[in-house]
Amino acid sequence: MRLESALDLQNRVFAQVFDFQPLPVASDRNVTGRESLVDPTVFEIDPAIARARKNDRQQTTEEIALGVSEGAGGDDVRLAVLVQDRDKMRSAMIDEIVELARGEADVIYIGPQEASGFWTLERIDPILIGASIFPLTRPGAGTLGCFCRDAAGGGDGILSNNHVLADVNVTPIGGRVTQPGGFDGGAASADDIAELTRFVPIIFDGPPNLVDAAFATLIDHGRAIDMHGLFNDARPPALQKTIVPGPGVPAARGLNVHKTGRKTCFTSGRVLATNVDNYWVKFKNERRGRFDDQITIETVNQSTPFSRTGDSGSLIVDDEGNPVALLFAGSPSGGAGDVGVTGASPIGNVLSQLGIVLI
Amino acid sequence: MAKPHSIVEARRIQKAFEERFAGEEGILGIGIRNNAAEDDLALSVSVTTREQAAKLPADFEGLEVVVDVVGEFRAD
Repeated sequence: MRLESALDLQNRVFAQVFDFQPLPVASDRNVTGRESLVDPTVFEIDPAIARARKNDRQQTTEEIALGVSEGAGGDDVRLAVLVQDRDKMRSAMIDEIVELARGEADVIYIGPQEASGFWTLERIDPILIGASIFPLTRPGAGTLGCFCRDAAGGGDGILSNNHVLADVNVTPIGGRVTQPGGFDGGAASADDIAELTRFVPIIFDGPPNLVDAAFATLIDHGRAIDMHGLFNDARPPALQKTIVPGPGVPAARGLNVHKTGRKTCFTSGRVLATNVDNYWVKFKNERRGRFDDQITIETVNQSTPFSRTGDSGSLIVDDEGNPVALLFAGSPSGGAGDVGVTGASPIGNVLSQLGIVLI
Repeated sequence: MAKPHSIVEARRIQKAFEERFAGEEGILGIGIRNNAAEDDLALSVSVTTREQAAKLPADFEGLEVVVDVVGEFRAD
């Protein structure tokens, strides 16, 4: 069948087999213009009542997802029926779906899907690049980018964004930073790891910014540190890249890049554009700042984005581990797979503006 | 095929594009990327909406314009 027919078929299954109902107000994220059909119990405010209202059929719908899989060739596609419970692979509901699809369906067991419980959100020892950090200004969370040394003769510390370590120009110099950040349960004193040393102010009504960056000096925190590893989300985390200390390399269009961040952990992407000027970014309180000389990155895995909110501050490296840029912004759509475009500042500008070296 | 643009030429065209379009509502970023055929440079323009994208030219001073509808860029 054609893609359009498969998408229509998805909605017919939701309506006729799952008994889903249209959302009263269409989401502006539904760029396809298709109606969104949902389980009607989602409109129940009390989750306990919602669960009690679900019958067996509705419970089963939570274990079956619908997608589109490749067909015989060309533009041909099939309905993908993705099942989390092996016992539901042979059930009346699956039979109904396959019948509606007139046999043009692939029933695939995908196993239980669990929300990510990445180590990046937790208090960790040793402290790893990608871990959750934030100052005590409020319960927030961003990413520890990498370890650096103050070129002005200060101590070793951590690199991240101004909007993480300085909470957009407001953390006082000397203000404590916790790992994890307060949003992830970090507590003052017990989880303190660094003190804000300096930041490049973000200017909202003036000349364009070049970086969103800040540096905090490590204090005596009693934990070990892994200074150079970029790890994935496995437990224990598995090493994916080793950072090469130094000045880094310029971003080239098409360059393969990688990062480990608090939200999406280890991901890979490709430099989409360089020399990006007039790059407008919205910060907390909806204030917009202009940045020049940035780079943008798109995912290489079209089903998952290179970054999401919470990855801010991640160091971006190339295949060899050379530092390339500091991640600080992203969009919910655009780029490969339409899963979002990431914005980052070239690492050379970051290091020179902050007066630090990567160790 | 025409000779590919150098980065210097592309930067000059980018600046001209910025002067012409950067002040318009919904333009979120203007950079330089590879074109779809990977045989020349192109302008990379990020915009908020499809409507904004439709107002932009497909080509500017001989350089392809590739528009991406991104919604908005956030730092949080």
